[in-house]
Amino acid sequence: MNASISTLSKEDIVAEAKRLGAALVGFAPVSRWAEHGDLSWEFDPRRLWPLTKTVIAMAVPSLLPITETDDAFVYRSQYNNTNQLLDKIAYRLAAFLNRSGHPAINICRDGYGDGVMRIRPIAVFSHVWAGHYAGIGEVGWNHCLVTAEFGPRHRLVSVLTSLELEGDPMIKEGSLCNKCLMCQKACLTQAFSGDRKRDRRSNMNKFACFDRRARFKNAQHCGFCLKVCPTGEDRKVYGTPKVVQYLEERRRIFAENGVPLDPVASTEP
Amino acid sequence: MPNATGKEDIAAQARALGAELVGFAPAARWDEANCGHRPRDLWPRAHTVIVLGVPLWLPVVEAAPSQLGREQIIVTDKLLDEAAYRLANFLNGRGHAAINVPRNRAGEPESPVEATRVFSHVRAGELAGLGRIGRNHALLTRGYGPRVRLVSVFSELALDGDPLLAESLCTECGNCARICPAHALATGPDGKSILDEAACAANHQRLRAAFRDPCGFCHKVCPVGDDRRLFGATDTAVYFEEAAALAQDPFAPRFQPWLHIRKYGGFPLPEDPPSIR
Repeated sequence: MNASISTLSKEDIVAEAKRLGAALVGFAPVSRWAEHGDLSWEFDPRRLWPLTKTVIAMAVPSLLPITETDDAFVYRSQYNNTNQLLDKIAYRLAAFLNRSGHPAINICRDGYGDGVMRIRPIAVFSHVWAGHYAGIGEVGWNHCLVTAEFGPRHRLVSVLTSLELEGDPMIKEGSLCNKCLMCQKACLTQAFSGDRKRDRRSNMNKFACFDRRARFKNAQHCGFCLKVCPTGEDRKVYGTPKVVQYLEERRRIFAENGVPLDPVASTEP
Repeated sequence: MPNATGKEDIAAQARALGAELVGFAPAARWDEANCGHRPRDLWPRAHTVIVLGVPLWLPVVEAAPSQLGREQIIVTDKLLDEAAYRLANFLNGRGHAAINVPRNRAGEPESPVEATRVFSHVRAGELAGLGRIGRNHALLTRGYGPRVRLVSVFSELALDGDPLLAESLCTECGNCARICPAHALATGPDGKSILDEAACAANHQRLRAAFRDPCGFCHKVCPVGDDRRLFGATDTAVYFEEAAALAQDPFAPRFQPWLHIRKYGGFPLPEDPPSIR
């Protein structure tokens, strides 16, 4: 460990994060958790590590055609590979900060042992909200972080540091998620509900989402709420299939699994 | 025709691959130290052992047993295995035969304690001058005390060994033996520290079943390491006060971060206070 403290700027940290593989990088002053009050104090980063001054949120994309695939193996590989990459980026960025004399810890991607989600479906830290407060995106109706670059099709990780850094501007509410409710309509398990006029984002039934695997043997890795989201430059890169295609696929999955089509599915966009 | 490859090139490559600590140990040092796990028993061409290390972050270690701590080990072990494999290929590519010896998974069900360890990265770290083995049987380093993970690469290159640390880093404070929940550390008749590996492994497997391994109590209590100052955690008495303080006030503020980390991601354990069950 280097005992001398070097001065690191945001630009230095962004450059290192990108060199390590991060696609999006944002900075959230820790005060934003209490200021906005979306989460209880228990999920303030200072509750996890009292020295936290800034949360550095980073993302890598999930590539749209793979998010769209019905091949569970390919989908799962992308999920695992991006998580491993993010964990390595975050660990090494924390090491970079610590080496420079600025205390930092990385919060690992995977927040649950097998089966734990079913008894306590809450992780020690929300990377999604960190990304929201770091201005990487906006928490959307589907409870994912909707970004300008990739919509909700990305994975996130966070580094907490005691280094005080200027926060990045947050995304203006409603600019990335206009509550089109496509995620709610496409969801295989009707996990999302709420009133788009009244609520900023949906209520999510996490248990309905988990039970998907038992009900839909052909949809072990679902991703409907990610692939239908119309936001994201990545749609232009890959070319956007018509949304109706996703709804047709949805009907086929219900039929193949012998599950009666739910009322939401019959609603055309 | 092999390219000339010096220690500086190798150390720079190892750091580029993510190693925070790098040390060199001539294989002959195992013979001089008269200890087991000799590199040449594993690979007769081994001339130098290159030891790579990465730290574990104290604020995560001291919250154990937790799922976040488990993930920290998984992530650092993967990073080390990849760095070691790539360093071996770097050397092979320059015409110097090398192999990486992967991380041990001691205490895992697929590797019972007896007769599984093909090589001791801890011993290698000591013989490469990265630290000294303490009473907790871990490698104590100046930077991070015992809060490091290690991996080794064997090379046929003859390279100068790094200087050994002449002085022990262990303060003999006995914190590790006192805190060990498995009572796995004892003092032998000659004053040396004896590790009951089976007791340690049994506790590990119990925590593992809850996705909250490793224990690491003997790492968190160790007063050695500059990381204690970096993270503002120089007081090791606090670990011994925790249980009594929480019995008196389950919401005592100084312990809430650890309880928060323990609460999420793994299954409850009998030793968890009621406030996080």
